[in-house]
Amino acid sequence: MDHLDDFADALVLVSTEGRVLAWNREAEALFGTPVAQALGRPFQELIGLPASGPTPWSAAAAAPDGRLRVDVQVVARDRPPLRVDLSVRMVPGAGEGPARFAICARDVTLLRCREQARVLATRFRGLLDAAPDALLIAGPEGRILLANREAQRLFGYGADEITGLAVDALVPAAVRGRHPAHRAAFFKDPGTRAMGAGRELSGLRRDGSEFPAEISLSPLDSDVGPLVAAAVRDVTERRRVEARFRGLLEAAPDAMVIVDEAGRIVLVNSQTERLFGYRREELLGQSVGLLIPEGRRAGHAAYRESYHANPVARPMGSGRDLAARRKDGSEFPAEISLSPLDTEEGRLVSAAVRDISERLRIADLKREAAVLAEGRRRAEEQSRHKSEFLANMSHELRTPLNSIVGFAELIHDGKVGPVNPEQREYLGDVLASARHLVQLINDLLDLSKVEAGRIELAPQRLELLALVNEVRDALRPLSRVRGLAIEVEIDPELRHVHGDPGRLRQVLWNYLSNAIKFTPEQGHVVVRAVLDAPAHFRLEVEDDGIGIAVEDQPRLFVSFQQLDAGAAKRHGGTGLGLALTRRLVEAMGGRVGLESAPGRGSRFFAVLPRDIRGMEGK
Amino acid sequence: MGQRVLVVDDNPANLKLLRAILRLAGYDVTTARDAEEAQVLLDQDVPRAILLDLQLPGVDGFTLARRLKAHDRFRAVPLMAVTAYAGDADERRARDAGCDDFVAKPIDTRALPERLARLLERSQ
Ligand SMILES: [Mg+2]
Repeated sequence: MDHLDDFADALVLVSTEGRVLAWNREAEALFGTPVAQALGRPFQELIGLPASGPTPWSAAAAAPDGRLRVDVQVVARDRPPLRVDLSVRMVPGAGEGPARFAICARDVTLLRCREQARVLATRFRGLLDAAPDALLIAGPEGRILLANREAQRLFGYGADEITGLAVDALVPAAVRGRHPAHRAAFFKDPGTRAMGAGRELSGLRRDGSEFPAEISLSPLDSDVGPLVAAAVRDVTERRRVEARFRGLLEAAPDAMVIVDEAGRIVLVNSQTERLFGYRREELLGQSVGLLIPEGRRAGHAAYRESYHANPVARPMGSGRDLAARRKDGSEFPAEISLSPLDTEEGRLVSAAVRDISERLRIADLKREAAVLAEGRRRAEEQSRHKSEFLANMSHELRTPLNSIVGFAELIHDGKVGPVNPEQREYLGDVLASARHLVQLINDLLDLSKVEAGRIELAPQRLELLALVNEVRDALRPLSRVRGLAIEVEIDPELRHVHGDPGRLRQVLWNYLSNAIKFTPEQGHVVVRAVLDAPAHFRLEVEDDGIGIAVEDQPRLFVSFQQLDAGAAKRHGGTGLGLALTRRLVEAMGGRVGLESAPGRGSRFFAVLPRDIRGMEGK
Repeated sequence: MGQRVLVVDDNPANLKLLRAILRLAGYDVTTARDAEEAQVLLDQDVPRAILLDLQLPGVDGFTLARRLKAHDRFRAVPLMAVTAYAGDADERRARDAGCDDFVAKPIDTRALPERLARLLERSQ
């Protein structure tokens, strides 16, 4: 059948089952399979038709004249799909042999393209040529049906050359192999999409040069079947800008987001990825609204417009006005500054975004600290005023008291003439009351000092026994009048302590004078000093007096401001002495306490450090 | 007549009290109610001691003490502050100003003559 090779068309002879019986040279060229491999194989398989189901030859067999003419899409191995016109004729078998089918195949891909292109051109050409981007329309075979002027210019083809061109011719050889699979996937699930989001895409010009491209695809339903429209943008300039800015952006401390006039993100640095939680490829090409809290997007769009009308570098706002949104939906206060970037591609805007939560937090803390400091300052001032007031009061009170006490004493002592016993007794009462008043004034002054933190300690090595005896002796006139015995028991280990003798004397004086006051005549009072862990000693005054009910005990040591009049009355005086004692002991790093029961006496104590050096100024 | 002492106090009752106590103790007492009056008396005669109230109208006791201690004629005269300023800090201030002794009001009438006697003894 050598003569078959003389034909200009591809000729194939197949059996009723479709097995190839003959395959001329043109068939080899058209379908890409050598005759040796084609013979005996199912024709469907060689041209990519479904293995089962109706075939052109079975249809021809069914036709009254045994002929059929049909256009099929042929997908031969490793070849772009072709549109092929098949002319099938049933040929009776030799003798009783089964029928065979002679198939004449002609590549009509270009022909069909031109036809479709003509149809499309009448509808879309004007529209397409007006577009600034390169636009291409292709069919399922991957042939270009229509390319606008910009596409022709971009790829370097004439109008006639580009129509019918395989799309693959515009794709660099390195990625051409994967392209048919992408195309098939698109037609299987058509939808508008950006190609290769985040990946570097390239276009191939006629002269073999390549350019970085950004490509978006949209499905297009047309009279000639499903098509795809591709918008191709040469992003050489943008890449150049990127390359120019990338180093700069990465060096910036802030998240940098570069946005085009339409609000699309063109470029981000890795700080942006970290701050917003998006990967770079999730941001590129997206609206900048993605990074803005939902409620603020509309306002942002309006702002962007006004910015483009007057693009100067400026802060977009400060303080709490601005917020940004992370991928997880959380928001953070931001400070944003903008500058215009004029490029050949048009005007871009560079936004530096800084998370200022920490700064606001610190500002809040500082404000709080300032408020606290102000409060403390005021409290100190108040306390100072109180101390000054009390000091002045004390002075004012002492002046008249001086002549009351002084003259009463002179008369009482008979220095200005004879006094009878009754007068002497009454003057004694005047003196006792006046001295009580003086004591109150002293305590008040001390208490205000301790409460203002102004107590000054003067630690020194001192003999505890001597100090205790001194106080006991000073109070002897009082105790003697009441017929009380005062015993002193000091642990020999406590011969010396480091303390403030004045303050210790005051503490002991208060305890001991109270004990004397509340112990019935002929009663017993013990002043005791014992060791207390770890480096303390316990100074206590025990009496066998009336004792104090448990419910009254807690009130004894409270500050005079809190003291209620009832408790003060029950326990004589104002109780200032004990409140002062507690404050003094605490100022020395110790604590006070009381063990007592009605009818069983009381034991007032103070636990104090054996050495208060280093506590001056407390 | 005993030794002459000058008492300076702006409160008439206190002045009267101190005069009474000191006369009972055998002193010859002159009194002044402020620094100016005191100065007039001091110009006439140098007393054996001065009892000085600190809170005075006009020139106060601290200032008067400093002036006296800066003056050759009076430097040796013992100064006893007798004052209603009763705090430790007040005593320090008084001593810094040149007072040789310090007695807080209300004074102890029984102890004061003794105290003055000791002060005079020390300054002999
Ligand atoms: Mg005065």
